[in-house]
Amino acid sequence: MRLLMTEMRRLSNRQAIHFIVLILMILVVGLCAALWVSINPPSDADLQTQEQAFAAAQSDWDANGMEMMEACVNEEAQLQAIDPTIDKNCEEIQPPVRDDYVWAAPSWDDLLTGHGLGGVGFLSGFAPWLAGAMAILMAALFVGDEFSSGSLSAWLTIEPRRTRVYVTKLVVCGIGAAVLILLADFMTTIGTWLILKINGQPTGVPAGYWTDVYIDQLVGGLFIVVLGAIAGAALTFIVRNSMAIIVAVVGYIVIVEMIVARIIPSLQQVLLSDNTLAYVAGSSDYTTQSCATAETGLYLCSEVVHTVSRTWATSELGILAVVAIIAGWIFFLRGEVK
Amino acid sequence: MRSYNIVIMSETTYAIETRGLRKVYGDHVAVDGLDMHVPRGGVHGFLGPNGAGKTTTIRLLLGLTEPTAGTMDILGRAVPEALPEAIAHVGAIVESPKFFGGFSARLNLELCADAVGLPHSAVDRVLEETGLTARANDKFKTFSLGMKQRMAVAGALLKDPEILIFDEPTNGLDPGGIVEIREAIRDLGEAGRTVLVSSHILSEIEQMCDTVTIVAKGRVLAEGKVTDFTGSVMHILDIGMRDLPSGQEVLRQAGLTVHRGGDHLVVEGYEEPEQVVYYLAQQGLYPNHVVARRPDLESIFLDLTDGIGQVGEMAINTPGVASGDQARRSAAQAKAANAGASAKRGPGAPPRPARGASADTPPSTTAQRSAGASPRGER
Repeated sequence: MRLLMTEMRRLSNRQAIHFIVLILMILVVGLCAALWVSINPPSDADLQTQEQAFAAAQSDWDANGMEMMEACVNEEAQLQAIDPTIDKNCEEIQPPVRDDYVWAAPSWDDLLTGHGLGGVGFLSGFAPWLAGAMAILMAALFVGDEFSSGSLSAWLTIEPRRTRVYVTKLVVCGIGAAVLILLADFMTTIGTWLILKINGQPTGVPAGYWTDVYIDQLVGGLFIVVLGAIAGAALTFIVRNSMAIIVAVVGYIVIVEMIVARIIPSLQQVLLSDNTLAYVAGSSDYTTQSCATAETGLYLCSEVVHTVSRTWATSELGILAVVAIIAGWIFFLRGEVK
Repeated sequence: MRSYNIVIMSETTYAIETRGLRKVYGDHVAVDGLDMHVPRGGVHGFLGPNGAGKTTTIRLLLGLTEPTAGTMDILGRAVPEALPEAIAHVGAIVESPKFFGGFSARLNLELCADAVGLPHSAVDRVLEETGLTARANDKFKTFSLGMKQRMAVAGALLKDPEILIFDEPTNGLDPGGIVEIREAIRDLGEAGRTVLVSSHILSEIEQMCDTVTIVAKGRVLAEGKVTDFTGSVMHILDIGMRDLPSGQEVLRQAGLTVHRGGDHLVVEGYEEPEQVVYYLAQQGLYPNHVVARRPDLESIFLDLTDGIGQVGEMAINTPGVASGDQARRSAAQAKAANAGASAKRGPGAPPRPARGASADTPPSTTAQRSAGASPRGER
C-alpha cells in the first residue's frame, strides 16, 4: 500500500498526466460547445433553405415515391425467383421526415436515444474506444518516461522487488486512467444537463435510464479504460519507450482499423474498436458481402450481418490484456534496467 | 560531522564481496570472473579504465542486471536473492543522477522516502547535509550538474545506509564540484560508512580511498590498500635547461632513462628529483625548472595489461585479497620476464628498475607535482 500511495503521488505530479487532463478538459468543453450550438436554432435563411429542401423531397416523393417502391418490389421478386433469400430492403423506401431536413431542438430524450450508444457521458458513442486509446497513451507516458529518464533504475535501488514495482505501476495506471475518465464523463453529463436546462429544453430522462443504461455503459467504459491503461503500461515495460507505444497505437488505428479492415471486412470480428463497442454496448454489428454464382449463372452478392457479442469481446480483450501483462512482467523481470 | 547509526547485519569481514562474477552480453564479456573484496568501513576505490566493467559490476550488485555466473554478497547476504533485505542498508548512485526533471528536489526525495517509509524529516536532513535546502523547491532540471550530483548523494544518504555505492561520482563536474564531492565521500568514509566509489581517475582514488580494486577488461588486476600501491610510485621528471644535449648525456651516463620531450628532458622511472639535479649540478648544468609528474592512468593500465596477462591472472587467482605488494611484486616479475631488461642505476643510487622496463608500476595521478613532493597521494 505504501508503494501504491507513493506511485499515486508520483503519477499525480507528472507533467504528462497534467497534459492529458488538459486534453480531456478540452474534449469535454468541445462536446458541450457542440451541444450548445446544436440546441440553438440556425438563422432564418438557413431554416428557410432547410424548409425548401424538405418541400422538394416531399414533392419528389409525391411524384415518384410509389413508383420507386413498386420498381423495387418488382426487382426483388425477379431476383427472389432466382435466389429466394435475396432481400432488397424495399420497406426502407419511406416518405421524407421533416426532422431529417429541418432543424429541431434536441431534447434530453433525443440525446439519450438518438445517436451512438444512446448516452451523453464521455464514454458514450465513439468515446469508449477513444478513452481506451487515451488510457494506453497515459500509461505509456507514465512508464516510458521512467525508462527514458533512468529514474526506474534509481527506483530499483530503493525497491528492488521488481514484481512489486511492476504490479504497483500497472495498478496505479489503471486507477489513474479510471479517475480521469470518470471525471470527464461526469463533467460531460452534468454539462449536457446544464446546457439543456439553461436553454429551456426538457431535461427529463426515460424511466430506468440511469440504472439500466448509463451505469451499464459507465462500468463497461471503465473496464475498457482500466484494461487499456494496464495493457499500455505492460507493453511499455516491453518496448521501454513511450513514443514507440504512441506510434504503435496511431499506426494500428490508421493501418489496421482504417485501411486493412476495409480491405478485409471480416477482420472487424477481431478489431479492437468493434470489440470495445461490443463490450460496452452489449454487442456490435458489422456487415460483409457474400458473393456466389447461382445455378442460373448469375453472380450474386448479398450483405451478411455479423455480430460481435459481449462474450466474444470480453474474451478477446481479456486474453490480449493478460498476454500483455505476462509478457511485460517477464521482460521487466528478466531484462536489464538502464 | 554528524554521527551515523551503522547497522551491522552480520559479522562478515567484507561489506561487499564478489566471487567469480561474470557478465556476458552476446559475444562481449563485460565482467570476467571478478573477485572483489570491499572491507567494512572506509572508502574503497573501484578503479579501471572506461569499459573495464565497473558500472556493470555495480549494476550487478544492485540487481539491475543478472550475472551470467558467480556470486555476490552485500553485508553477508547473497544477492540478488537477499537484495530486498540488504538494500535497506545500501544507498547508490549508478552512472548519472536520475530523478524526474519536472519534480522539485524535495518532491523527488520525498517520493524516495515514502517508498521506504521514512519520515519527511529525513529529506530535510539530507537536503541540509548536501547543502541543497535553499534550492529544495526548485525543479531538478534547473540544477547544475554539480547540484544534480549532490542531489544524488542526498538520495543515497536518505536511508542513512551503512554502504554507499557511487559510480563515477565526479563525472562532468567542474573542479570545485569535484573537490566538494571528494571531500563528502571522504567524510562519509571517516564517519564509519563503507563507501564503494568507482572511477577511472587514479588521483581521485588516491585522494579519497583507503583500499582499492583495480580492474581492466572485466578482471581484477590488483587489490589492496591504496598506500601499498602509492608507496613506490615512480616519477617522470620534466627538466628544463639551456643545454639539453649535455644534460641528456650526463643523465644517460648516470644510468637514467632519458629522452628529449620538446624543449625539455624527460627522465622516466626516478623518484628522487634532487638526485637528478645533483647529477646535473656536478657537471655545471643547472635546470631552470624540474617538474615531477607521475604517469597517467592510461599508461599505467597499458603497462599492466600490455603482454602481461599473467598479472591479471595472478591477481585473480590469488586467494582472498591480493595485497598491493603482492600484486606489484607479481606484476614486476611478469613484466620483467616479458621485457627481459632492467635499468642501470646511477652511481651511489640504490638499484631501481626504470619505469619502461618494469610493470612494478602502481596507480598514478595525472596531476602534476612539484619536485621534491611526497610520492604519496595527497590525502
